Parts: sequence; structure tokens; C-alpha cells
Amino acid sequence: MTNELIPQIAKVVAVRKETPDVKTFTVRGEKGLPFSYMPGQCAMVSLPSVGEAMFSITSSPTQADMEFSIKRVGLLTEALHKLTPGQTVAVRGPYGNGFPVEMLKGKDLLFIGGGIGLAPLRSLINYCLDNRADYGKVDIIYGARSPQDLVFTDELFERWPKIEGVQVQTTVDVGDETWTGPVGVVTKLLEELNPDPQGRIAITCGPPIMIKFVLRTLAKLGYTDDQIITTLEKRMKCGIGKCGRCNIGGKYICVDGPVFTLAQLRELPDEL
Amino acid sequence: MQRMTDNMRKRAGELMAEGKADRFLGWEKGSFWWQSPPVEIKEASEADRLIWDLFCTANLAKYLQQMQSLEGKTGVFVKGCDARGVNRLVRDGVVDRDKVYLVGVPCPGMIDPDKVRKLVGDGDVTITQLEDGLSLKGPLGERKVTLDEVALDKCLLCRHPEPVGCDEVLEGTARAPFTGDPYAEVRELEELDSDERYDYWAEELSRCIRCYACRNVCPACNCIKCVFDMDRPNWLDGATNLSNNQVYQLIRFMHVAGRCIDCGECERACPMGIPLRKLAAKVDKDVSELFGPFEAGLDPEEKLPLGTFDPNDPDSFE
Amino acid sequence: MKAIAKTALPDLFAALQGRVYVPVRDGKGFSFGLWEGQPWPDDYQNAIVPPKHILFPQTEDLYTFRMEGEDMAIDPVAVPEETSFIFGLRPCDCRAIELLDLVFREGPFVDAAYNKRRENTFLMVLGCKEGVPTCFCTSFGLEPAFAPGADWNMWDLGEVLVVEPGTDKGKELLDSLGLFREATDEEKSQVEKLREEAKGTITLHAPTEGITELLQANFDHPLWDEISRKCLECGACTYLCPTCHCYDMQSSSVLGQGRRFRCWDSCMYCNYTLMAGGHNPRPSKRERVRNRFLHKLQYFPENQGEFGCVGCGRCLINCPVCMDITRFMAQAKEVMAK
Repeated sequence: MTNELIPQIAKVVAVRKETPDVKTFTVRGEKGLPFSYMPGQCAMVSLPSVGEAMFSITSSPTQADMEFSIKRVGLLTEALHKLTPGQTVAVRGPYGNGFPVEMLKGKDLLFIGGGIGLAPLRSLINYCLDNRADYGKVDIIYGARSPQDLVFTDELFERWPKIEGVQVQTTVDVGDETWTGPVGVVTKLLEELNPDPQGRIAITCGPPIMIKFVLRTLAKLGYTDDQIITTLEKRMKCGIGKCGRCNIGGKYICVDGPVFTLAQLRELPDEL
Repeated sequence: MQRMTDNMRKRAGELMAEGKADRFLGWEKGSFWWQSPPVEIKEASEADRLIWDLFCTANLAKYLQQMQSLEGKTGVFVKGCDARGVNRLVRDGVVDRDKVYLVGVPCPGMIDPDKVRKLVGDGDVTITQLEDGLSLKGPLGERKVTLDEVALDKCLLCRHPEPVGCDEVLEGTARAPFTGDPYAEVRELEELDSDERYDYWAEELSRCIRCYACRNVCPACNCIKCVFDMDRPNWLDGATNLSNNQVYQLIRFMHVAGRCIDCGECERACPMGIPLRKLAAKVDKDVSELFGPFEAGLDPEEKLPLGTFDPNDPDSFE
Repeated sequence: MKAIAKTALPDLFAALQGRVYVPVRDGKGFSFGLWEGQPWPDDYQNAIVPPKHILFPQTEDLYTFRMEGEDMAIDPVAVPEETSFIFGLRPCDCRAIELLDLVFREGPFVDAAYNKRRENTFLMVLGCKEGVPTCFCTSFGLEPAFAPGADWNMWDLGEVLVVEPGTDKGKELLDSLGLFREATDEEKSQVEKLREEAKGTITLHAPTEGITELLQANFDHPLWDEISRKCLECGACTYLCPTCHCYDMQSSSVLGQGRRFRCWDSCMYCNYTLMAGGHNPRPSKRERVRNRFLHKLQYFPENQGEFGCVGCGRCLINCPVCMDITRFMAQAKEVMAK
């Protein structure tokens, strides 16, 4: 039996600077993709001498390579940010339930992301767009603190809007001289857009305060708790539901999550 | 004992009614005969939960740190060692003396439950105070003993059973202070050669499971963020092995050097039976020998031997 | 049912092929350590640290690593194949290992290291003649002198030890050892009597009926504030608990070369759930104490279908401020039900 806690080595083949504190790393295992995965699933990425942490996989399984978009917040992420192509990391996974891609088939989709919260959504967005026929209209609402904090700008402004049936709206909390788009929080855009809840599922990820207001706005627009999906983050160590710590109530985020419908979340105690 | 219990309940009720204390820390009867754990009384009407017996061992000073953020004053019943613990925390500036009302309880010394168990067994045990000692009744029979025969070792060596620095002291009789050599056990260890000493401590410390009970119960361990809880930098990793355990215990005892009040709570809290008081006593002895006789916690304004700048210090600073 | 003279136990230990763990006098009590020729300790009641560390060591290396220029090498640390015999563990600790099995060997992932050790371990349970005041195993449906999950159940009849195998591998082992004779009818009836009488010696009671549902409905009850006030947030209760299984994973390295290991961790520690960005979903001891009790009484039943407590009483004995899960359960029944 293989020990799930022992990672494999992967090479960093590309590093893309998204924002001043977010970088996207493309990693490749010895035989290409380190392991197969589904959108919304996560992986443990480590530099063994520094540490290991759970990150959502940013790429879509429809792509050839595995990508992680990582924000610099602590010791490990700081060390990861120093990596250059050709260097190695250790990875293990996939972990977590992922987005319910089967359940979403035939539905219109509304993505609401904030900051680095677009990273896990991007995996599902690209998955749906690469399986275009399976999914209905796709609306993407994305917000960041400032224009320089926007991640995946190529896709946001170039690739996604050109695809049939896709609408992208981007907003920033504070604009600058180059910014001509909307200024304000994502909930403002969401209310203006007012997407019809009929046959639509909303998928949201971002800072806790944003999620709080997004959930409130979605409820106001008529979305039921079953029509809202989000993905959570906790301190994790094992990734396999044994080490404790990432539980909310009796659910372990690493195996029972990180993706939950709002209806499922309401069943859990308030320990976010 | 019953008279002291009545007195404590009455006094706590009065002081809370008078507004001199907004809450009170004392001891209540636990689930078993050997337990009298700490309790926080929030209303005068709850004062009947308080008790005083020979198991009120837990040092209450530790709780004052978490009480600091609360409005108003916290009343605390203090034995000799609790009082010294409070004085310590006041001296370190982590507890505001004006937010505390100290009611002293002269301490007769507390019982070591294991010593009682050895004599009369466990289970249905009753301990009755006699004129000249204690009557112990248990499954193995009945025994008449003096308190000293079953007292905790730390109490037998207690130099200050009478609480110091209190706002008031309840009427009662404390045990006679220990006047012998407080470092007898340390001297015994010091007689060993360095290899033997190393082996002794290696065997003891190899048992440490790093549950941190000794640290968390210690009234001198009052850092907001303990060095062993830091992960940036991570000074000591979580592996339990002799080397890490030695680093943990030695650093902790060096850190409380000159501030340890010898309440013995570390040793009592240790589930593994490591003789931690000997480490404490060794450090205490060295401090006293190097910086003059000193006992921590007797005066909230005391000059700490390792925390005082003196231009006339006999050692050079170069 | 077979029997062996207690004086012949050293012969038995010597005959067992593998690591033989027995209660060893250690500090102020007993712990499970390797048998090194010593006689059986007649005053053994139970070990301070439960034998879970034999299957789930407090510190366990996972792999070593080294950086070589841009490249990294990772070498897994293998779990030894050796057979282990845990001789003399109590029924509560045997039950606790069955609960750990549910955590480590069931679910979407199996813990490889635990699983391998577990496959190679014999649980040789010594029934309790009588409990101590902190024992409450019967509240969780245990029998003090019999463990249904044991490879062997054993009873101390004074001069002899009577053994009954409980599993196929236990029977095979017993049959392979020539040191035993058949137990007499007298001995068999003594065992029956011992088992029956032991039940009556467990006097502490924890009210389990309906507790899970009650706790599910009272996550924010003020009782949590009340009971957590005196907790000192040390890890004695969790490290000594035979069913606590939380662990951390850490590295130790010098100049890019080192080892990654896992070590026990405690939900009572302040850093346990602290995230890199500074957010802590369980910020104070109220949430931490609640998590510990709920894990035993609510989350374990929800996830594993069993209570996560076996009533061994170690947390009652070793808490420096006498936190008492049985008392909490009684209080919960009283104040939460209202």
C-alpha cells in the first residue's frame, strides 16, 4: 500500500506573476500530470524543508498541465514565490470532493469570485468552457482590491469574453488612472446584472466578508440554498481526513469538502 | 476546615455584595475525594460552591491573567503559594494589583492523594480531621496519621505557608514554615558526576510527552506567546525525543529563573511523574548563590535578580 | 480456553516471535514497553499512556529528503514488518484501538503506516478484576473483563492466567504455542465469576443516552463557556486519551537535507487551527474544549457510528484542574435539555 502522506516530486516548468503577491506555477511530474483530478479538488504542495500546505488546483483537468495560483501569506508561500522554472516542489493529491460537474450539466452558471478566490473557480470555468455543449450560459463576476490585484487577466479580458454565451464583468474596490471598468464591490455588479435564478447555479469563492455579502445578495435575487455553491479553506495537514483540525462540526473539509452547497453549510455549526 | 469553608463563603458573599470584588476565585469540591478544583464564582449567591479542604492544591494565580480583560475586580482566595504567584504576576506587569482583591488563607499543607491511596486504598475514602492529625478511612481499612505523613512533598518544604501581600487574611493556622535546607535534594544530585547526572535526567526527561501541562499551570509562565508555540521561527519542532525534551525543559526552567515561586504545580501537573521541582530548585539555588539570597513572589515590588539593571553590578558589562 | 502458570510468562514472552510489549514500571506508574526479562508486575492496574503509541507513535518519520541543486530526492521511511504483541492491555484500550481502526483504516483513505502495524499486531487483553473510581467503561457499553475485539482475552486467577482466543489469528497463535494446558472447569467458572463481578466494580456513570442529539442541538449553549473557564489548554487529556488521533506533520532539516515526520498534536493547543493568514476558526478555549468533547460525543458517532470515548478515565485522572467529561455529560443533560 502506498503511503498517502508521501509526496511525489514535480518540476516547476513555468512561473507567471499574476499580481504583486500572487504567482501561478505550472508543475509537471515525471510522467507529465502528477495525478488526475477534477475541478475544485486540491493538492498538498510542499517544499519539504519549509512546509506543506493545501492549495486548490487552478488548472482544469481538460488542460495538459497542472497549475497552482498561490498568494504570498506565510512562510511556505513566501518560499514558493522564490521558485523559478526548473526547480522542484513536492505534490500529493488529489484531495477533496471537487465541484459537482455532473449536477451542473445543462444549467446556466454564475461565477462570483473575489481576489485569489478566482483560483478554484477558474478550474471549473475552463472545464465548463472546454465542455461547452454540456453547460448553459456562463456569467462571471470578478472583483479585486485594485486593478493590479486582478488575477488571470488574459482570460478575464481576452479569452473568456470571446466565447459564445459567456459574459465577464470585472470590478475593483479602488480604481487607478488606467482603470475604465466598474468600481465597487462585486455585490453591486451582481445586483445590476440580476441574473435570473431559474435554471442557474451560483458558484462563489473569495474572502469571507465578500462571501457573506454575496450570499445575502443571492438570497435577495431569489436563489435558494441549493443553488449556491462555495468552497472553503482551513488549516490542513494530512489531507485525508485523519489528522483532525480542518473539521467544521463533524465534517472534514479535506475529504467532505472543500465544496459545499449553502444548504449543506447551513447544516454545519458556525465555526468558519 | 468546615469553619474556614463557612468563612470563605461568607466573606466572598460580603465582598461581592459590597462591590469590592465582582467575581471570586476559589476551590469547589470535585467529582472525587481527592479533587478540589478551581472555581469561578460569578454571583454572591453561588458562594456556597466554595470549599476549603486539604485538596485545594491548584494555584489560582494563573487564572488572573485571563481575568485581566474583564471589567472590575477579581477576588481570589490565596494560600501561601497562590499569594506568591499573584505577587509574581503583578511584579511582571501582567496583572494589575488594583484589579485584584486578595483574601489570604493560612495553609496547613495539602494532601498527596497517592500517599493516602497507599495507606487505605482508593474508592470510598473519607478523611476526617482530628485534634492531632487525620483519620483516613478507605477500602483497605482505617488509619490515623499526621498531616505531614500524607502531605505533598512540596508542602513539607514550604517556606511560606502564610500568604503574603493580601488585602485581608482569614483567621486560621498555617503549618510551621520549613526552615531546613531547601536544596537538600539538589545537593544530592550535585554530588553525582556529570555522566551520572546526565543519565538521571535523560531517563526522567525521556518520558516527557510534551503535553505542556507544566508550562500551562505555571504562574511564572506568563508570556503572551510562548517561544514553544511560535512557528516563525519554529524554535523547537514537535518531535518528542530526548534532545527536544531536554531543550524544552531546560529553556523553560531557565526562563523562570528568579521568578519561580516553588509552588510545585509543574510537578503535580506532570502526568508522567517527572521530578520537575528538582530542576526548579536547582535553578533557584543557582540564582540565590549567584545573585544573593532571593525568593520570588514575596513582594510585588521586588527587584528581580535577572531583571534589574544596577550600575554597581559586580559583573562587568563589557 | 487454555491456562498458563504466571511464573511461566517469561517463557511465553520469550517464545513470541516479535516485539513483546508489556506493562513496564515507569515514573509514577506503568507504560507499555518492550519486555526485557522482567517478571510480571502484580500491582499493574493500567498504563498512564495508553498503548496507542505502539500503532501510532508519538513521533514517526515519513520520509527523508535532500536537495541536490535544482533537484529534490525523497526517500520514504519504511514501517518495519515485525510482529508486535501488546500483552496485558485493558479492554478499554482494546476498544480504543478498534475505534482508531475506524479512523485510520476506513474511509476514502487508509493510513498506510498504521494499517501495516495493525495487521502485524496481536492484542492480548487482560480483563479487569475491578475498576478504579475513575473508570466508566460500562457507560459506553464495554465489559471490564472482556474485549470482543481482542486476539486473546486473558484473566488473572492469581496463580494462573486463563486465555481464550477471540480471533482466528489469535487462535492460530495460541495453538502454535506449547506452553498452555487446557483450562479446568473450575477455572472456567472462575472466569465467568470474575467477568460478572468486575461489572459491579465500575461505579462511575456517564449518561450517554441521547447525548449526541442533545449536543447537536446546543452548539452555542452557554454551558461551553462555563465548563471551559478553568481549562489550562494543556494537552494532557488528549495525549493520554486512547482514542485521540490528531497529528501534525513537520520537517526538520539542515541545509536542505532532513526528514519529514508526523507527531501527535492536540486540539487544545492555540496554534492547532491557526491559518497562515492569521485567522483562527477556534480562537479561544471555549471552542477548543467544545471541539474535544464534541469529537468524542457527537462527531465520532456521526462519522464512525460509535462514541469516541471508552471510559478509561485517563483525562479525569490527569487533568491538572479536574475537568471531568462524565460531569460535563451530566450537566449537559441537565441544562441543555431545558
